[in-house]
Amino acid sequence: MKRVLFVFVAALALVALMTACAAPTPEPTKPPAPAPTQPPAAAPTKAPEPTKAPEPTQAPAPTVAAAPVEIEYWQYFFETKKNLVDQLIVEFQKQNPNIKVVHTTFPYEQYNEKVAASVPAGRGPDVINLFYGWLPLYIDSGYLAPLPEKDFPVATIEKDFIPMVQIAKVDGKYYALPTAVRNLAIFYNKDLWTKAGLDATKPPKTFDELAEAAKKMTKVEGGKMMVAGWRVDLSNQDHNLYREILTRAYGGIPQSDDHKKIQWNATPGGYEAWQFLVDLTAKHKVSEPTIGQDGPTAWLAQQAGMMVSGSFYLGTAKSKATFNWGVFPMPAGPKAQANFGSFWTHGITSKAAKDPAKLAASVKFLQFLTSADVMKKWTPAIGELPARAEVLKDPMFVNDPLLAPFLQTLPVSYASYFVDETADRKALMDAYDAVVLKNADPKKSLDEAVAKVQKLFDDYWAKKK
Amino acid sequence: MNLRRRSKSFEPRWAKPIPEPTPRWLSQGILYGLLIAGGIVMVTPFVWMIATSLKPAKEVFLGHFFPIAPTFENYDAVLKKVPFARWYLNSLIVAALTTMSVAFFDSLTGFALAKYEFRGKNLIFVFILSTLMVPTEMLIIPWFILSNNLNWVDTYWGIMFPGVITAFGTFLMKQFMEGVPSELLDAARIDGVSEFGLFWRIAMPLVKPALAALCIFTFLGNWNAFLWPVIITERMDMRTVPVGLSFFSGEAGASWELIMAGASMATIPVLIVFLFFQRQIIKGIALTGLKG
Amino acid sequence: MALQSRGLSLGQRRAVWAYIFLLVPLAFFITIRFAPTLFAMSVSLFRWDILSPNKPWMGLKNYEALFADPVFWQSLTNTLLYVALSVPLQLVIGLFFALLLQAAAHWRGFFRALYFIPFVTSTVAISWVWRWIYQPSFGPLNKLLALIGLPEQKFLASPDQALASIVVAIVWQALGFYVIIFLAGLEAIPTDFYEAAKIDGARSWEIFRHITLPLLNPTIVFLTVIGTINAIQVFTQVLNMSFQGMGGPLDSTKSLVLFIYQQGFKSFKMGYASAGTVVLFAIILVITIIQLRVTTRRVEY
Repeated sequence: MKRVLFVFVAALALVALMTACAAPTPEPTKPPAPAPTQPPAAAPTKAPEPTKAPEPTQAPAPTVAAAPVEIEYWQYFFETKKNLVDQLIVEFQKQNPNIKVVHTTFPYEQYNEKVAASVPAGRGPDVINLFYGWLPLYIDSGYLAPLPEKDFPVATIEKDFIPMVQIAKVDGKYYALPTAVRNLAIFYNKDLWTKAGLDATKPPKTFDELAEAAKKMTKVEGGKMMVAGWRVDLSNQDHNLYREILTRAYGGIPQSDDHKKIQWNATPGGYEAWQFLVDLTAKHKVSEPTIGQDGPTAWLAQQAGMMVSGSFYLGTAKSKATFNWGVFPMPAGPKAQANFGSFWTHGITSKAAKDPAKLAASVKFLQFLTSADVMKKWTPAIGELPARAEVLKDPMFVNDPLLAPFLQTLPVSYASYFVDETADRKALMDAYDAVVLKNADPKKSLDEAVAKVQKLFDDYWAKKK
Repeated sequence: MNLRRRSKSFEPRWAKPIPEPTPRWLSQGILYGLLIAGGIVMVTPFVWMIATSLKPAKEVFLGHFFPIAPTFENYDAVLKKVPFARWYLNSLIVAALTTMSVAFFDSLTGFALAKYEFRGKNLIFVFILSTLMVPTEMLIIPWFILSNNLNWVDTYWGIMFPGVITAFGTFLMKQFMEGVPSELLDAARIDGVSEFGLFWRIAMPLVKPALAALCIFTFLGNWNAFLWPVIITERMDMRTVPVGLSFFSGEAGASWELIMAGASMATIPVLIVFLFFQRQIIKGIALTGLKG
Repeated sequence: MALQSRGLSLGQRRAVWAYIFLLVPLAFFITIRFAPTLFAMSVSLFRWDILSPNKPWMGLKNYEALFADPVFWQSLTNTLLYVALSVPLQLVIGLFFALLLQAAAHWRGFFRALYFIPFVTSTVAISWVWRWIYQPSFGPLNKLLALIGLPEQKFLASPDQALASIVVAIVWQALGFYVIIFLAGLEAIPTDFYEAAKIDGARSWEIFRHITLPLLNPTIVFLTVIGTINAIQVFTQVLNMSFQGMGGPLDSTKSLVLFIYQQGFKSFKMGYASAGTVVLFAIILVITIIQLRVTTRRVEY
C-alpha cells in the first residue's frame, strides 16, 4: 500500500516535472514574497487618470511608426465573433505591417467581472469591446479615453452612424463606436403556427394580434399547459420588451432625457403596458414560468410557439431548431411602434492613450473595425446589423428574409440607459414574479420596481456630483 | 490510550439477554437493496450527463434520456474548437503540483499542531481555520493586484498560489495526527530520530489513508476550480478545463451538448484514478484515527 | 519516563521545532490569506466602487445600509436554511450509507465508487442536470410523481420549493465526501470493541449508540465544522441552478455569498459587498467556535 502511494506521488512528480520544464513560465517553488498590504485609502492615487486623456501632440503620419507596435484587443467569447475577428486581424496586419494586434477573449458570463477586476490592478487592453449598457461606469472611472476628434469627428459619426450610437457620447465626446447593433423581433415556430390555423403570410401587426395568435397556439391538456403560445421570460429579453418597447407602444417614455428619472409608471400607458405583459401569464394564460427552463429552451423544445429574441440568436436557431421557424418584426402598440436596440462597442482605454504610438495604432484598428467593409463581413457571419446607415441599405441585407424583420424596426429602436443593468433587470423580473407567483397587485409591483431602479439612478447621479 | 479506559465503562450495560438475530440472508438482502437504490439515485444524473454528451445538438432539447442517434461529434467539436488538450495539461499540472504541496505542508502543519505543546497553539489553529471563513470571491481583487504587481498573471504559479496550503487540509491532518500515539514518537526520539524524521518517517506512514483522502479532495478541488483561474489567465493557452468549459456558454444560451462532452472528458479520468486509489483512503487505518 | 528527567528545556526545544515546522505555512497564511482578508474587510469602510477612481471614507454607512436592506436579511435567512437543512441531512445520510457499506460483504469498492461519482463531477455541469431533472413540464421527476399518482410540482420555479430543491442537489453531490470520511472514521474503530460488545450480548443499536457513535466523535466534529463552513458559503449551486444566476425566484434561493458576489462583481459595490463579508465572517466564526466547544467536549458514557 505504501508503495502504491509512493508510485502515485512519484508519477505526479514526474508529470509535474516534465510539464513544468515544457511550461512557458518557470515555476517558483517557494511561497511568494509578503503581499504588499495596500490600504484602501491609497487606492485612489493608483486609479486611472482622469477622463481628460492627453491629446497626442504629433499628427499620426500615414505610416504609424518605424518600430512595430503591439496592441491588445479584448472581447467576450462569441464563437463567430472570435473567428471573424481573428481573420480580420490578419487582414489588418497586412495593411499595417507595423502593428501587431493581440486578440484575447473571456467567457461571456465573467467578462465584465474580469475587466472590472483588472481596473484596480491597472491592467488591461488597449482596445476593448464593452456592452453599451456598461459605458457610463467605465467612462466615469476614466477607464476609457475619448476618441480623438481629428480621427473620429463627432459630426462625421453622427452623419454616418445610426442614432443609437449616441448613447456613447458624454459631454460632447464619443468614447466608443460599434461595428454592429442588434434589436429584437418575434421568433416563431412555423409548424405550431400553421397547426393553430394561423396564416404565415400575415404576421401580427399589433401586440393585441400577437396575444391573439399566442392564445391560439397555446395547448392545454388536462389542465396542464403543454405548449405556451408565447413564453414570456423576463430574465431573457422580455425585460427589454417592457422597458423600451411596450412602454413606448402604449404611449409612455421610459426615461427622462437626462437619464435621471425612471418614468415607467409616470403615464397611464406605462401601467397599461405592464398590465398587457403580466396578463399574458396571469389572465390570457399563454405562458407559464414552468414551461421550459427559460424562453429559448422552451422555444427550442417546441414547448413555446413564440419568443422575443435578438438577431444574434439567428445562428443558434439555425443550428439547433428541429422544426420550421421564422421571424416577425416587432409589432406596434396602440400609440406607437418601438424596438429595443443594443450593441457591443469598441473603445480605446486611457492606458493606450498615454502612449502616442499605441494610441495611433489603436485608432487605426478602431477605424478598421468600424469600416463599412468590415460591417459587410460582420453581418452575414454574426447576425448583428451594421451600425453605419449606408451599409444598412445594402440589398444583401434588406432582402434577407431573416434579417429584414430586424432591419424594418431599426429606425425606431432605442437603447436603454443603464447604470446597473443586472439590478435594473432584476427589479423587473421580481415585479413580474410577484404578480405571477404571488398574485401581487400589478400596479403596486410596477411601482416597487420603479422605486428600486430610481434608487439606483439616484445613487449614481449623487455620486457623480 | 484512553480508548481502553472507555471500553471498561461499557461493560455493565450489556448484561442483557441475547436478542433474536435477524436472518443473515434477509439483512444482507435489505442492505444490498438499499445500496442499489442509493446507487441508482447517485449515478442517474451522471449517466444523463454522458447521455447528453452523445446527443446531436438538435436532440438536446427533446427531453429523451438516451440519444436517439448517438454520436461522438460533440467530443470531436470540443477538441477541434478549442485547445482542449492544452487546457487538460494545464489543469493536470496545476492540480498535481498543488496537491503535492498541500499534502506536504498541510500534514506538517497538522503534525505540529497535534503533537507539540507550545505557546499560541490554539490561537494559531483558530487563526488558520478562520481563513476558511471568508469567501474566496472577496479575495479576488487583492489577489489580482498582488499577481499583477509580481507578474504572476498567465503563470501556473498564479493559478496555484491561493491553494498551495489549505486550512481545510490542515484541520483534517491535525485531526488524524492526534491519533498517532505519542509513545511511538517518544520511542523513536530515544532511538535518535530527528524531529523532522518523526514527522516524515513515523507519523506520515500512519496517516496515509487521511493523506490519500486529502490528496483526492485537493486534486478534485483544483481540477474543478473556476472563478480564480478565469481572472488570472488571459492567454488562451494558459486556461484550465473548467474555464474552457465556460466558453461553451454564451450570450445566445449554452451549448449543453458540448459542455457535457467536456465535463465527461474532465470527469472520467479522475474517476478512474479514484478507483485505483480509493483503497488507500480507507484501508490500513487501524493504527490511527480521527480524534477531536 | 525520560520526559520528566530532561525537564523543561526539552519541551522548549520541541516547541522551537513546532515553530520551525509552522514557519512556511504561517508565512503563507499571513501573506496570501490573512492580509488580503484584512484588505477585503477594510474596504467595507469605504465607498469602494471598483470602477470609480474615488473611494471615499464611509465609516459604518455600508453596514447601516446593509442592515436596512431586505434582500440582505432574506439572503441571511436563506443561508441559515441551507445550513440547517443540508448539514444534518449530509451527516445522517452519509453515516447511514457508510454503515451500510461497512456491513456489505461484497462489492464494497464498487458501491463506494458509485457514491463518490457526484463528488468528482463538475458542479456546473451537474447543476444543469438537476435543472433538467426538476424541469416542471418535461423533467423526469414530475414524470415519476405522475407515475405514482402524486401531483406535479414546480420545484425551482416556485419560491416555496426552490431552496429545498437546491439543498437536495447539494446533499446529493456532497454525499460521497461524507461517506468516504465516515468510512475512514468507522474503520478506525478497533474490531475488538465490537467483538467484546457482542460477547457481552449488546444489541446492534446499543453497539451503535455506545461504541460507534462516541468513537466517531472526532469524525463528526470534523464533518460538522467543515460541512457548516461550506454550507454557509453555498454559492456555485445557487448561481447555476437559479434562473440567470439571480438567486430567484424572488430571492428565495439567494445565499449570502451570492448576495455579496452580486453586489461586488455585478454592481461593483465592493465596499457594500465587503460589509456583507465581515458579517458572514463573524457568523461563521461564532458558529465554528460554538461547534468546536460543544462537539469536542468529553461525552459521558
